[in-house]
Amino acid sequence: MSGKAILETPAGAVYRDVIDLEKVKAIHKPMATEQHSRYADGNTAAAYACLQMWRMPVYVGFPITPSTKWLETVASVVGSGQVGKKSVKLMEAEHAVADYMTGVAAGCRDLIVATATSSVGLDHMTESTRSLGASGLGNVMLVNVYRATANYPLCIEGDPSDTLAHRDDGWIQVSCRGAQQIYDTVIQMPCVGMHPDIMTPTMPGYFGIKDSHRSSRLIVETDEAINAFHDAWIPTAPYPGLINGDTAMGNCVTSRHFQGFKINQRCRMERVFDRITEIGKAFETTFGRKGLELVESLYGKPGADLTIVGMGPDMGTAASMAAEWERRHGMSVQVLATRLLTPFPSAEYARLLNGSNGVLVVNHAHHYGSGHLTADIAQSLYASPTKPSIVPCFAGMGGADLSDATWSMMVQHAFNGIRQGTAMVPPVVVHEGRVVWPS
Amino acid sequence: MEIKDRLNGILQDAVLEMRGDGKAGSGMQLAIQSVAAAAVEDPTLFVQEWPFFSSARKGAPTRGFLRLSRKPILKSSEITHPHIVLLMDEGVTHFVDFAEGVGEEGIFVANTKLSPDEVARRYHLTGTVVTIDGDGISSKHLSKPLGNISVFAILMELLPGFDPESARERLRYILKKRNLPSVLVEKNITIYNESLGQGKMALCREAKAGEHQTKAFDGYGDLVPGAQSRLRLSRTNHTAAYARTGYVLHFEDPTHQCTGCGHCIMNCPENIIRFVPDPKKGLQVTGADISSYCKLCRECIEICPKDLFSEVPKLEVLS
Repeated sequence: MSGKAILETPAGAVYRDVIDLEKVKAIHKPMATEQHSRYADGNTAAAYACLQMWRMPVYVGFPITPSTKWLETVASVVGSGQVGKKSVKLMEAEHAVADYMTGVAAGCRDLIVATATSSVGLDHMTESTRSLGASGLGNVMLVNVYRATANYPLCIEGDPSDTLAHRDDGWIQVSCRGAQQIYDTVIQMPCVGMHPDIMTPTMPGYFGIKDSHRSSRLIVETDEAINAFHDAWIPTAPYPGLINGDTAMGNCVTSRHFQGFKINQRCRMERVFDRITEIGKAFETTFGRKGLELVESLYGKPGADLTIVGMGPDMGTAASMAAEWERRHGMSVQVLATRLLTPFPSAEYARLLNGSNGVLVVNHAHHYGSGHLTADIAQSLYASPTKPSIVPCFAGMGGADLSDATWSMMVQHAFNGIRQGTAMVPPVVVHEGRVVWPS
Repeated sequence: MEIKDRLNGILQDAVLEMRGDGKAGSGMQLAIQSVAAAAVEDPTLFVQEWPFFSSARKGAPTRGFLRLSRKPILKSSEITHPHIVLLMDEGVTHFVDFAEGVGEEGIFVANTKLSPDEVARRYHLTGTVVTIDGDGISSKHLSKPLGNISVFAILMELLPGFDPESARERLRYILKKRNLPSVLVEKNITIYNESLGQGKMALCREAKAGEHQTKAFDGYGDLVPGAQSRLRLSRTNHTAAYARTGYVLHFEDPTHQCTGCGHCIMNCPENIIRFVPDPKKGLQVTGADISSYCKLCRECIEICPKDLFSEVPKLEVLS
């Protein structure tokens, strides 16, 4: 530390040369010098994306199924020396992981620190995730491998009740499906979180087992291309880190200022809508694959008679069956998969659902109302001039399979709801082609 | 050749689906993953592969799924009507119907000493049955019954779009990636080579009408808090499947040597030791209910002061 470049800001002093970024960059050894295809599951895809970033010299973790393979993969690759001198910190529990990430991220806002966790692992971090959400440390990324968090009885399969329980922690949450989308999303998330307009930590997520353990072809980009993309989108952090003592986590303010900080946090979050779309388009231009977007359209067009909204790989099954439903029911169908969960892109859903007679909302997570996603969709539609019937269903809780029969039953249920013209049909739980609740 | 053409047709126009049943540690996932890894070599093939398992240890029943197509694969649900099924370990047949949902043109690949006709008769199969004694070949080279490499070899011969020669190199690469010592890699390659051309095939019609149909979901029953323990609800938690295939726990006490110490009862993790009250000893152990949950953990064998428990071969385990 030479102390040559001390820049005073309203929030404290920035010591630009505390960590020499050029040296950090020089230490990184590329994993891929040529674009290539390989076979990978979701956890491996997420780990590879992290390993290819020169800005990520430290990986932190505590194993929990089904996210463990992310940690195993980064540990194995880092241990082999393949990506240069980096370190993996295995902590004593998840709370310590979150605290450690805070320290690393605060130590240098220009570097990225990541972990992966699931279910009660995420719950265990809660005290820190809420502080982190408000901290402005957009260089923290938590890969959330979804697993049921209503943990009695224990279930190791994937439902997004963990991520949905953390909607208000202050993180940018994006849902993915399939190894390629997971890889691409993890690459793009720091560009969103570290954007000077946003500075908010990121939480990309995907279904445990259904995607964490499902393998398919993965196109691995070169480290050079990934880091060039980051260099284009991640400017030098304009705010101080915390190690210089100017600021600290956990400082107490009075209510006079608390609200002000929250308003600022919210304003940063609302800028995500525009930035995520810009970054997604730039990713598509650079890599030729669809980048981040607010909502993923898998089948059909806005204005379809029935729109189906849900999360994760099961939406692919819906898309594969949609043409058959159109023939069978004589109505058009649109299938949408969630991408941005927090902040929820209500305006985009209102646009996509405009003209639909009904919307089938498939909720994978236990909820005492009509479902987390249903509540968000209902709010999105509240100000719309045309309001489709909302048909909430629960399916796939605890990671249960959404079979063809289950999908067909839900769609039949939705068409019945549309015909009745009810504003919102009472929720049902569907499994293996049967409505199992209410019985 | 006829089978390969038929499968190729499915591959071109639809999605070829495969499902496998085995036990954790039997190598089934490696066999299916190896097919998927080989498929990625062909840029025109789309592939999807994933396992299903519970929170269980080595020996628990596991399932593997594979989809292959020349078109992008959107579907992500479990495979319920596979074109091909694998049976990696006959021990799982007590707990799952590996042939469930398979149509009349289905292909069954079984790791067994039995002939295709014998397998078809035993499990009531209609379709093309291919058998290979993978455990036998593996035992010869690795001193372990691991039939997965042989099954992989059979699949490389059966599936369209794969070349057994280049698959051998892919297998070598996969095994090296798993940090297997080179001597073991080469032994596995020897098993692969020896397995090529060794599959026995027959067209069989042994299924009775309605057999192996996908069973309709019949609800959850009356669940109360704690029921996950009381009712042992997971379909894969029939822990007897964890036991070494072909062996069972045996209790023998013709001269009433049981001291009534109760150590076997306290140490049994599955609560399956049977006993009756005894006015002098307090209790008298009469045996163990090994039907569903004895995983041969050997706790009772180790702890009994009179050596009344033992592990014995179950000759008719597959009948």
